[in-house]
Amino acid sequence: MSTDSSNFDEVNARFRGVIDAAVDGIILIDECGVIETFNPAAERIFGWTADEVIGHNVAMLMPEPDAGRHDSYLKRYLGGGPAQIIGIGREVVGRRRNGQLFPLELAVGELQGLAPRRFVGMVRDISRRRAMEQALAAREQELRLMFDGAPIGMFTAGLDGQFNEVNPALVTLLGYSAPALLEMRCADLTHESDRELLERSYRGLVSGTRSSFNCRLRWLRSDAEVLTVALHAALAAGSKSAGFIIGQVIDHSEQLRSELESREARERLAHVGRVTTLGEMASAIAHEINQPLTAISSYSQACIRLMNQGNADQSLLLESLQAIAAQALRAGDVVRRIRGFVGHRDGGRETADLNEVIASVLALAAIDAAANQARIVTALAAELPPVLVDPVQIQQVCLNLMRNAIDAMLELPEHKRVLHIETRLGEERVEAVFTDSGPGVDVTMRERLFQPFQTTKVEGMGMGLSISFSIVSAHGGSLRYSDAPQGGARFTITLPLALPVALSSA
Amino acid sequence: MMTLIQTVFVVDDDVAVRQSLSLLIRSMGLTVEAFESAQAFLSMCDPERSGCLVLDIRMPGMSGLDMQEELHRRAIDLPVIFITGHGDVAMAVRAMKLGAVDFIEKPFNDQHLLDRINQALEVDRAARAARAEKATLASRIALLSPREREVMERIVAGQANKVVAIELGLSERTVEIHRAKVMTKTGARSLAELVTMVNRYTDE
Repeated sequence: MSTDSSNFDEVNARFRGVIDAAVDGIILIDECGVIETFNPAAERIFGWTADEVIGHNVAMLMPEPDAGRHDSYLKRYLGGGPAQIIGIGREVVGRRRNGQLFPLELAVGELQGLAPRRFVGMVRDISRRRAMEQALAAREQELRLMFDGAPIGMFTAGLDGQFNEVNPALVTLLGYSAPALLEMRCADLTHESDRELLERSYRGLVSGTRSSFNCRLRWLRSDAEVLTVALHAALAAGSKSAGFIIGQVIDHSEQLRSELESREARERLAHVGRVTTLGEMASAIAHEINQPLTAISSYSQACIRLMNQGNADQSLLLESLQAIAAQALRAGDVVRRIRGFVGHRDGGRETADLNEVIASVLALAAIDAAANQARIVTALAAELPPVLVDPVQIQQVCLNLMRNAIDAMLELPEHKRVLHIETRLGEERVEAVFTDSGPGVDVTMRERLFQPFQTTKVEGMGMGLSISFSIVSAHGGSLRYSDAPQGGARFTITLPLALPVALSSA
Repeated sequence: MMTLIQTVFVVDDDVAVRQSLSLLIRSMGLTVEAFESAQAFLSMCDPERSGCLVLDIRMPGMSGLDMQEELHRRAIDLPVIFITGHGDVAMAVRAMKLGAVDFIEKPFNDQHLLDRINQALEVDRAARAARAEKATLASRIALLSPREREVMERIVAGQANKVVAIELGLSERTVEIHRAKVMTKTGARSLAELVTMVNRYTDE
């Protein structure tokens, strides 16, 4: 028996060791609920020492109402009632020595073949895990609130562009229900002509050549209204999948509309400026048209007289008719230039040669110069690179500067009234310089030179330079004043070069 | 009476207007000479030549109005018809004060222009005739001796020979001889004609 006995002791010691070393708390109770064993892990979890709890009812380790009911739970089970916990395990609330309650995972088993019956409880403190879970849930809740409450549209989508999640702002923006959107891909919303841009940007993400992209797209609402949106999409690395896309959508339609409106307002003002300019030039223009009309009328009346007299020389008549035709064209030319200057107002930007823009308006300025006995001398740079402009508006600015210059020289003797116009290539820009030989701009006027309603002229609204300034600024350029080296005023227009359109990469 | 050659001088800086206007005036059977500037005209201008000026009021260099003033300074009395594209009241007033015959707006009706030109030519012709007559008179009166001149002034004033004789301390017979000399030298065939002549001569 001694071997049996020593063998038993050894087994017993080994079990004891296992129990003591266990990470989980192990508590052994009898059928009355009295604690028989309380391992070190249990001591750590509950704060009691084994000595303090052994012999006491296990109810001391739990809060109400379980504490008060534990005996009845046991009785019910021992009386053949269905197992509520034994062999099942569940999460319950434990009570530490200091009274603190904590979540614990409890697995309870019955030790078989013993009398009286005994039960073992395996206890794991899950308060930390639970705290982390709660923190995680709270964090998720925050993110969810951000996602749902964001004023801009947000979504996640698979690499194929199919939406996984959409926020309420996106739902509102697009007018589709959330479930309907989840059946769609970005491309389905995108205007046909922008799909290629979207696909190209997407391919960049999927192939890994870029981690995000920005692009401006036209999207179609459920009611077919066209929206202009800025889409920012970023690739998020997924833990399991190949990753997904996080997208943000900002509606620029409104902004675009107001931009358009302010552009339209500027164009209307510019148009008024052109009409005003022509109004101020009316007398000179009338003269310019009247001259060929006079020639036409005189030639015709001369021909009629000659033919009535019956001694019309054939070649003289022919010569006169040719002159009449040429003069009609001359008058038409003036009219055409005026119409070109003031007629259209849609203000489209196009690539243009600044020299040509200036040349086209020189003919109108020449009318003014001739009426005021002034000369215009040009020195236009050969082969200027193109600028991206509304040619009519830039013509207007140039004509305005030319007319101002001519006006400024009226006090001078005629032979000194000379306006120099020069164009040149600067760094990444082209410049047009208008230099007159007048008195220059008075120091007191300079600060307000480009403000509206500033004028030293008896006639005129004082809008010309202000309109010119806003036109050039809207083209990304500048309009500056300086004193000319030989006296007189010098105005310089600077315009950025038209660059080949490049796709900006994020 | 010999026919006077009259020329219409056209001054306009616009070549088309200048040439067409010249042709029109020529088709009216008139003689035309055209100039591209006031300076060009002034440099060849001969006060002896009869005619009129058709002058553009708005020209570079010397304007039509400036040229009109220059003509006055040079005592050239050609009648001026101004042509202008824009009827400017102030300009018209100034031009008319300087004796412009007319002020025509471009483009013009040919008959109206012809009428104005004919009128201007007539003005020049009359002025020249008056000047010529005056010159003739002056040269004839210059032939008179001081005494004859005294006698002429008195008889033109309506004094009888007897009164003239008493005032000048001459015999009536002497006055009669002087009076006959006056009539011969001036070419007057009657007292009435003499009165008219002297009035025209002294009328300034």
